[in-house]
Amino acid sequence: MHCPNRGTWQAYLDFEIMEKEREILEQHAANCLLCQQTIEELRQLEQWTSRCLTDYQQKIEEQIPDNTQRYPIAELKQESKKSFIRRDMWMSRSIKKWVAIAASVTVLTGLMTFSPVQQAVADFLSIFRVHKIQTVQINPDDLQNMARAIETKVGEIDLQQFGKVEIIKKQEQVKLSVEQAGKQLPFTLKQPSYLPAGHKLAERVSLYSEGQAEFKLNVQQANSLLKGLGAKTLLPESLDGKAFNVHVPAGIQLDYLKDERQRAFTLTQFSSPELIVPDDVDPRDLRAALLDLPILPSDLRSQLASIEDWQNTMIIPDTGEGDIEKLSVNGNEAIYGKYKNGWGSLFWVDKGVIFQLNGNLEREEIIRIAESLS
Amino acid sequence: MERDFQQLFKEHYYMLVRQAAFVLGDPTAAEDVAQEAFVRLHRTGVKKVDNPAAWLTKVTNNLCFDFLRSEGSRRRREEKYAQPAELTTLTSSTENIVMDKEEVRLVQKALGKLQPRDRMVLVMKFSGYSYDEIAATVELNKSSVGTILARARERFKREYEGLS
Repeated sequence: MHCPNRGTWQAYLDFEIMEKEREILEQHAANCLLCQQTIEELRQLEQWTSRCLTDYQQKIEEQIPDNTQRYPIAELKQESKKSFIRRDMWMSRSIKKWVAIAASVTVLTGLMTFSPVQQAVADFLSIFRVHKIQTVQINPDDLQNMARAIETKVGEIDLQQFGKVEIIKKQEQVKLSVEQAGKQLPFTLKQPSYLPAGHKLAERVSLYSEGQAEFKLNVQQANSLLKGLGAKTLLPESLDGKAFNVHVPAGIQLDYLKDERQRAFTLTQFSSPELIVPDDVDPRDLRAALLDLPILPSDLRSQLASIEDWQNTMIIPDTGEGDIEKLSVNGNEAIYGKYKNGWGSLFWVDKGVIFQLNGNLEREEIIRIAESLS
Repeated sequence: MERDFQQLFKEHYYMLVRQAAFVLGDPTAAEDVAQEAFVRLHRTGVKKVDNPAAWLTKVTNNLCFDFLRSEGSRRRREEKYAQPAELTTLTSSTENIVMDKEEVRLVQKALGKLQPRDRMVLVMKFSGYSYDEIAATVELNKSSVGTILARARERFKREYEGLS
């Protein structure tokens, strides 16, 4: 077989190829380094483009004339229905924006209290690891006010403004058989014992290698941002230039097909990412500065402050608009959401492994599959 | 029917403006396009359309593509006849928005340099449309969408890197 052209591989990546041809392509790729390279290039190109366009889209939408204010609630509802599915992004886009804010607050809140942990590993301490999830109630108006406050006071915020980010080890994806992939995971792979009729696991699964990034805080810049937001508590100079490490362990994505063709649902499993802080840094300083920010609605502040196990808790904002539902999966708290295109998504954490099930299935089926994992 | 129409307008107008603004990079032109889509719906008759929301989305995409093509040809004509000194001040309506963030501004500029078809394919794919929908809008064979898409992304990246 001649190597398929780039367009064919692009269509393959976009799931725009019939299952029969897909298999032939996969067999070819398994033995062809050149094509594996092409696939990786195309994948990276897509990631790069998406990154560019995400920011751009947000900026453009912010410029849409003010008369959108006439239907602020309808707007938000429509926004929250507009969503798309990706491994790294399971929430709707409007929520994503808030998550970014809430997450930075949390991660930093997490960074902050940091009871002196005993198990120092070399000169690093691991302090942040997701073991559970918790929703915080926040109403859409408060969210908008926060966003507006940030935009008008300091403009758009990105991580680069706080310091320097360096990717030390990039996450890569390879296709393997489920047995091979399972051996390379830092946790025991779980598979469902229940599958709806006509569904089965695809022959090859995607294994994501571990990734690592380093973040060096620039205290002066971070403080000037905090000041811009009206903060009275600032970060101490001693945090300057200290390297924080983010480690994302290897993970896996299993694709399940319906009637041997269509991708019906995916199940991803990752062990919880870790944030590693140098041991001479006291993150309580960071927590104090962030929880003190005047832009936080006091209700949200008290909710965040009351999360006791903040080092291990991932925060998910619930705007009370009915697109997020709290459930229990085998005793673990889970969050269920539904997308505009009818796909449902279930997200939970079990013993340090983050699970996510996305699929073109009814809510009850999704829950049943999740509960059958072993 | 008037009431249906009012209701549709209320529910979908701003969504269409957002959709068009993203494709065109120009909120003002996007409002024109979205209004035109409703004018056409009114002319066709709401009752005659099976799924008005899908219909409006499709017509808006088509109108955006038409707009980019006419805009592109206008710009090429102008550039051909413009004096070198004027070239620097010549800005198309899709590019004259002041962007306060450098990267976003570069993205906008790089998009502006793409051929209308490349731009349309790139942006529609990002917005989650299928190859079938993309093919129908830019009048391509579905089997070429992958090739055009990969190439459009490469060109976009090249333009972006050429600017920064």
